[in-house]
Formats: sequence, structure tokens, C-alpha cells
Amino acid sequence: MLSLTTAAHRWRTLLGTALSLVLGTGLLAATAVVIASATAQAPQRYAAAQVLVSSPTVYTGRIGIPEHRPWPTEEAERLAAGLRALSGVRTAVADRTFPARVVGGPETEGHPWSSLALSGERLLDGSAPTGPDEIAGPGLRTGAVMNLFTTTGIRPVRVSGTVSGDPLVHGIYLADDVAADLASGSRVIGVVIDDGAEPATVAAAVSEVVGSTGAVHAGAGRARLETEEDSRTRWVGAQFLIVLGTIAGFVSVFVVATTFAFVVTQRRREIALYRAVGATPGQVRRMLLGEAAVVGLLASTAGGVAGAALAPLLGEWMVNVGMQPLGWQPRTVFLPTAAAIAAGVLVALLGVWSASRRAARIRPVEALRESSVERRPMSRTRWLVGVASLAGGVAFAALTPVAAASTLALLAVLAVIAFVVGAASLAPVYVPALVGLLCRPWRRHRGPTAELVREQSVVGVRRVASTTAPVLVTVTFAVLITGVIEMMDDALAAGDAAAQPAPVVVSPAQGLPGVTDAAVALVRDSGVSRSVAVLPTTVVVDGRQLNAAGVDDRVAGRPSGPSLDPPDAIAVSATLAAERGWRTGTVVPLIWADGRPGRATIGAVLVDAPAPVILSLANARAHDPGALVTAVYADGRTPEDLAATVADQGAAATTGVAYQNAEAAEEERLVRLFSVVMLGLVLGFTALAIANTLVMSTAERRRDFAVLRLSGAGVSQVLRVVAVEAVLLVLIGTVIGAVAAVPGLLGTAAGLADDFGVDVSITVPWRTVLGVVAGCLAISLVASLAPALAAMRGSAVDHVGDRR
Amino acid sequence: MTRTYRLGTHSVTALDAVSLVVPAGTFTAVMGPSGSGKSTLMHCAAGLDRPDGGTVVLAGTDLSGLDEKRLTRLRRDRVGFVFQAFNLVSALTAAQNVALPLRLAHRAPSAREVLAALDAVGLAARARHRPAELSGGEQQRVAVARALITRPAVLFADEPTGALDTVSSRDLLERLRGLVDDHGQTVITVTHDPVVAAVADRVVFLADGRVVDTLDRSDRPVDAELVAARMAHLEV
Repeated sequence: MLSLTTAAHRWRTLLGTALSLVLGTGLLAATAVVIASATAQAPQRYAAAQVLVSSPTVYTGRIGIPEHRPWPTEEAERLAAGLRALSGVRTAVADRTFPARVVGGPETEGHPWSSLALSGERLLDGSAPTGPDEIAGPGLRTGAVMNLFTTTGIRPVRVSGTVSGDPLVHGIYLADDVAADLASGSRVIGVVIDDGAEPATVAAAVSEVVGSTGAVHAGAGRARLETEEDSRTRWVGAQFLIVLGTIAGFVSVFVVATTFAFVVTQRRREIALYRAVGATPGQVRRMLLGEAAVVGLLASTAGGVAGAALAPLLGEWMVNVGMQPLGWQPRTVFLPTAAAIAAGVLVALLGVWSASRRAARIRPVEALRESSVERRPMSRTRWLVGVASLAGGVAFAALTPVAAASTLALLAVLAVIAFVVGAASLAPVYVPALVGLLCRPWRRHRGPTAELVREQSVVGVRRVASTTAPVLVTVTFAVLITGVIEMMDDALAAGDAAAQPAPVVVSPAQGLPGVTDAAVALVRDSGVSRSVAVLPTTVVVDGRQLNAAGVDDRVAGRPSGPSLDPPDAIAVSATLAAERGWRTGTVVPLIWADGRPGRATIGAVLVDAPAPVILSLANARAHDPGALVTAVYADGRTPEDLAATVADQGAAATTGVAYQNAEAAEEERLVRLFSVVMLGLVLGFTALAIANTLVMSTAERRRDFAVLRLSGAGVSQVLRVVAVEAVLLVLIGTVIGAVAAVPGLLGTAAGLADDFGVDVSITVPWRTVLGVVAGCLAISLVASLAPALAAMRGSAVDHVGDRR
Repeated sequence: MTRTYRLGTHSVTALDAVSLVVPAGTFTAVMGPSGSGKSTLMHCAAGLDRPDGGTVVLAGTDLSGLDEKRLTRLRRDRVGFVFQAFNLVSALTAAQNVALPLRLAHRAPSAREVLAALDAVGLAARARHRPAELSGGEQQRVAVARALITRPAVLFADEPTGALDTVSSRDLLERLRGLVDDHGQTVITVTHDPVVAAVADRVVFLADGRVVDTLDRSDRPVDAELVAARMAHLEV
């Protein structure tokens, strides 16, 4: 194989390509393994229940996560009893889930004791909990007394028994009747079948009993019952991995394409020689494709295997930062790895495609020419790709303002990718001109540096373009990623600032999920001038789930806010009222959060409502025992005072501003993490690309350097020319890169302004961007000066005749 | 034939209606000052370049009717090349370089065939060396071996001794002469060097894209001094 021989000989020039392919394929393989392994899993709590029944779906959200209307307690019990009577069924239990956590303990949830039968775990010692003051569960010591958090309040309880299993999975068990009062209905009935019974047969019998009041899942279908939280987490993780994979794929293609474009330029005479001794254009093209395939296969295999090996680490990290549900583990490895390797080879072939076509057009006579001046650096393909990409970029950028928040990031990335490809393709058109322009101020300077830099950029257009391109990509992504995040922060802050912060905010402490009802009452009765507690809940109207808020707004101890008379009346937002044709006094049939149907009279229509449906806090709590108050807003007492009042109830008090900042910081955490990973990734790749091109081209210029030295230039003068050129190219790449990011930023600003209803102006954290540019500059200088120095070792005369 | 190059706005006529017949089994040298069109003449004759007007017939085939692929095949099978320098692919050994045209033609070269070709230029012992490990003269001899491996109808040599010392030069010329005398090989060379031209059966002098003079060994004995004298005459 000719390709094998030449690839082996040219390994030094192909090293950069190989490295970026190893990196790219490694990342692709790792992300692919994590995505493929992140499939919905049946909750581990139902390990022993071969058949599961879920309550009816009322609504399927935009990202495909279904919302269930729970069965009210009595209905769930009736259904479970009916199922227990079936033959082949050992037991059927209506499970419930509600907030329950030992203060200072792991982040658990509470369940009824009878649901232990569904998990396959068992009581290790002690006994089942009875009454409101006993709990049991894994990781607890029988007989110990601990403080238990539930929505009603924090109170001391005794551990009646210890159970096998994992606290994070199996949670805390309470007596069945206590659990029923703390949970908002039941969403799952688990069926444990007799030994030897056929799950499919039992499932069919269960279906008959359940009818249209629920859905039956058996076997692999049990995975449908993964918790909503896990589905969301997986969705967020998938978004992250998709963007990661897209950028990794694009940057690899980019590096491979620019490297090979350059390889072809460097090997012009060799390729012309092949043509002269009888290689057809097709053979030349196939030779380069073959080389890329050889390098691609080797590098991709290495990268794919490494990526698959590292996938568990990526998965674990994502679990830790909350982007994969607990219990993620590598499940599918072979196929995603193979796909990543295939993608790597494809990337290599795509990268070399245009270069190989250009190589095939090299004419055999060129083997006889001395001159290395490129005759036509802009091929027709390059023009076509450049102009088409710019047009595509405009189209994507135009779509960004009207895109939903979820697709906004991807569209912005696509727009910028298109602009980068366009700018890089057209680089030979404008880079030499820009270099000339930048050298102009020194035209009358006596030293030769400016003139040499200018002329060399005109002669080595391809080299100059290949060096500018990676800087351009890095700066573009740096500006885009940091800019988008800065703008999102601004939009969030502007949204927050629009709502005047309360003087004091009481919020959960010690890792607890909410403010207990007892704490709400303590704040209300502590002599504050005003207190507002909000309980987020939901109601279903006409088969559509609506967000609702139970509000307790008191001024000087007396109820304030919307008039809700009678106490079980509701208030609705003007938007919803207009949409439904409701007025004050309309009686609306609805289903409460605990699954019970009811009717409510509309007591008020609100122009400025925090949720579409407003009800009294007491009413909301009565229908949704499992909901959590996230914060209580107060005025009239100091944060220190209130903190002392609510400390026993696991709550803390701070100023409203401090609370908002803490909230915003939490919201930003994932976004920042996201950006750091992306930025690191892009920078790593482009560093590789910059270093690769410069090392390749500087070594190639050995002869030029030798001629310069023979003409009387000192080593330091030659180095100065090299350094000035590197600085100029980084400068040009930075400017063009920053400009290429602008449409993406404009689109994002428009999209954010739309979503948050605030004005968002383009802001870019210049300090970070300048840091990135400085990084590019450092890489460029090292990568051009070091090989230039090495190339000038020894006598200049030896290198003049050296054509390799 | 005629060949005009466009350089920016003005055009240059490199070959101005040149007509030339080279009989098979002869050694022809094309001479002329820089810019006389001698290289263009060779490129066109060898199918590396195409004339704007006129035709080239190489070993009975009219080149003007051939597309790029057919032209390449013809070059591979019927034409051999030796250039002034940069003759060999640096990644390949001497033997691999010699075998290259056969492999490009999808013919499996036998080791014996390649070795015989290298032996013919006295380099059988250096088959496994790469170009960087060979002297300039040895590189040119490998190039000759490669040019001859396909048994071409014509061997074109472009300043073959341009980068060689006198001893290597004389050795290469003797080998070329031997090919013509012993094997009936047709050789066409372009050169500046009267010593090279003196080995030829016929010397064609070019100036400004036209044939201005010829010397023929069958008319009178040709030596380097005579050639040099004619050249000097052209350059004033």
C-alpha cells in the first residue's frame, strides 16, 4: 500500500491530525457511551414488583416527560385491594412518596411501610414503625431518636427498625396511615407476583381490573415509571452531551481539514512527481484518502477505546454535578464506541476530501518548477463553501430570536459554526490584505521586518490562512460561550431586580428541601409587619395541568392579597380568565393535586398573579400535603431575630438580597460548569491546531530562514520576523473571530429578551476573552519560535539546498 | 506546434510554430538560452503540457485527442522521465521508487525486475536505501532506472546533469548513450550543457520559441566546442 508507506514516512506532519482525532473520537466515544447508557430505568425501589400500575397521564410536557394525575388515597387502596384478590398476585401495594428527611441526614424521601414489600429489601432488626413517632429505614440505628423533617414540621421520632438497602434509593419508611396523610395521593401501585406465576399473565389480569384508571407496565416497560426528576436530569445531561459531541466533531473536522489542506500544499512537488511518472488524478486523490483512512482508523480506534474506558468517569462526574440520575452506570458500550470510531474515520475522510480534490488538480509540470509560490490559493470549492457557510450563518442567526429557550443554544452554536467555516474558507482572500494593512505604519521604517512579514504572507497564503483559522475558532467560541453566559446572568438578574426583594427571607437550612408548616406559622405569629408564604401546587382543568400557588399574605397578622371568600375559592390570572371565558363567580370543575375531583368558585381575577391559579395556603395544603414551601418573605423584624425563631424548625433567615444572590448562584452553577467544559474543550483542540500548523510550516521554511541568514540577517532578526508574523496572525484571527461571534450573540440577546421580557444588551466578559487571546498568543509564539530556532541550528549553507 | 502562456494581462509565446521529427532509436538534445522555449517543447512533447496549436504524435499516438486520464496512462506506459532534481519520492526506498510506475499501473512489480533495473544502473546494492542516503549521481541513476522500468518508447531528460559533479555527469551520459546504442532507446534531453549535447546524435537549437539551427552527427562530427560555439552565437 502506497498510502501506508507515505503515511508512515510523513508521520510527523500527520501527528497533529492523529492527535486531534484521538481527542475528538475519545470525546465522542465517551459521550456516546454515557448517552447510550443513560436509558430510563425502572425505579430500584420497585425491584421486587414485576408488574407496576401507574396513575393516568394528564399531560405530556414539551420534552416528553408525562405528568400523572395521582389516585386519591381511597381509590388507590380500593384498586390495590382488587389486585391483591387476583390469582398469581402475592401482594399489591399503593406506594406513596413525600418529603421526609432526618435532619442532617442524607437526601431521602418518605414512603409507607407496606411498600417495603415492593423493593425486595427486608427488616434487619427491630420492628415496623407504628404511629406518627416511629420511622424505619436503611442506614438507621434501631432505638435511636432523631429529628424528622416532614412538610408539617420537624419533630423527634424513634427508629423502630433497620432495613437493608440504600437510604438514597429506599428512603425512610413511616406507618401506612401516617404516610397517607403526608403524601398527595398515590401514583404507583406495585404488584408482587407469586413464585412461578407468569408476569405477562398477571399483567393481563391486572389490566382488566385497572381498565382506564391507570396504565400497566411489566418487564422492560417498567422503565416508564422512572421519576420525573430522573427524566429531567437525563434530559439536561443529554443536552450537555449533544453540544459537547457537536463541538468535538466540528473542531476535529476543522483541524483535520486545515492540516490536510496544508499537507497538500507542502507536498505539491511530490504529488506532481507522482503525476509525472504516471499517477492519474484519481490515484492521487485515493492516495490521500487512503492516508487519511489509515491515520483515521488508527487514531480513532485509540481514541474510541480510551473514550470508552473513560466513559464511567464522565458518567460519575455527571451524576455528581446532577446531570445524570443516581444509579447511572455503563450499560451499552460496544455499539456507541464502534459508532464513535466509525465517525472518527468519517471525520478524517471528510477533512481530507477537499484537499484531495485540490491535490488531484496539481499538474505534473509542477514537479519541474522551483518556485513554491501558490498559484491559486482560492479554489472554486473554497469560494463556494465560504459563501454558502456565511449565508447559512445568517439564516441560523435570523432564526435564533424566534427560537425557544431550549433550542436557542444549539442554534447560536450552529450560526457561529457556519460563520467560522465561512470566515476560515475565505481567509486567503482577506488575511494577506489585512497583514499588508497592519504592516503599513512601518512602511517607512528602515528595518526589513515589516516588509518580510508582508511579503511572506502574500507568498504563503495557505500557511497564513491555516494559522489564522484555529485562532479564529477559539476566539469565536470564547466570545460566544462567555458572552451568552454573561447575558443569561444579566437577564436573570434583571428579572430578579424587577421583583423588589423582600427585606427578610426565611428559607430551608441544613440541606432540607423546604420550609415546614410549623416554621411558616412561627414567622406569621412572630409579630412581623408582613409575611408571605407561597406553596407551589397544581390543579388539572379540562385535562390540562395548571400551575397553582397557595398564598398566605398577611399584613400585621391579618390576611391580605386577593379576596378568597369562601376560603376554598380560587383566584385566577387575567390571562387564564380571558382564555377560558371565566369571570368572578364562575364555578370551575377541577382535579386537585391529590387526585380528588372538586369544584371551586372564582373569587377574583388578578392582573398581576404569581401563578395562573391562586388559592389560600390552607386550601392548597389540604389538597397537596406533599408540596413544599420554598421560602417565606417577611418584613418588620431583623433576619437575626427571625433566624432564632425558626432555627428549631430547620429554617434560616437572611436579607432578601442575599437570598436572591444565593438562588441566582445556584441557577448559574450548571451553566457555568457547562461553559467551563466547552471552553476548555475548544481551547484544547485549537491549541493543538495552532501548534500543529505552526510546527509544520516553520520546519518547512527552513530554507527561507537559511537564505535570510545568508543575506545577512542575524538569528534574532529572523526570530523577530517569525514572532511579528505570529502576533499579527493572532491579532487578525481575534478580530475576525470576535466579529463572527456577533450574530450568535445578537440572536441570543433577542431570544433572552423575549423569554425574560427584559432588555438584554450584548455584553462580553472581555477579561476572560483577553485571557483566551493571550493563551492563543503564547501557544503561537512558542509553536513558531521553537521550531524556527531548531531549524536554524547549524550552518545556514547546509539548509539552502535542502528541499525536504 | 504553438504554446502561449498568459501571464496576467500580457501573453508570452513560448513555442512559435515549432515542427520537429525525432526518429526512434536516436539521442536528441534540445539547446537554447533561458526562455527559448526548450522546456515547454519537452513538456508538450512528453504530454506533460498541451500545445495551443498543432499536434504531438508520440510513438504513433496523437496526444491531442487524449483526456487527462488517457494522457496519464500514456505517460506511465510509453514515456520515461529524468529531471534535474527532486526526482525521487523521499518516503520510498530506491527499489520502491523504481517500482512506482508499475504499481501506479496496478502491475505487481517482481523483485527481480526491479533489481535488474537497478543493476542496469549499477545500484543493485543500494536498493533498500532512501533518497536521502544516496548521492546526487546515485539519485539520478535511480531516476533512470525508474524511467526505464516500463520500457518506454521515449526517455525524456530535463537537465539531467544540472545538479551533478563532472564525474557523476560523465557516468550518467555514458549510460544514456549506451541505452541508445545497445537497446535502441529513444532519448530526448533538454540541456544547457554543451558536454551533454555533444553525446547526442542531433542537437536542436531553439531561440524565442523557434528552431534556429540543428547539428547532425551524420553530417559532421559533433563535439562540445562546436556546440558551445553555436550556443555562443545564439546568445549574442
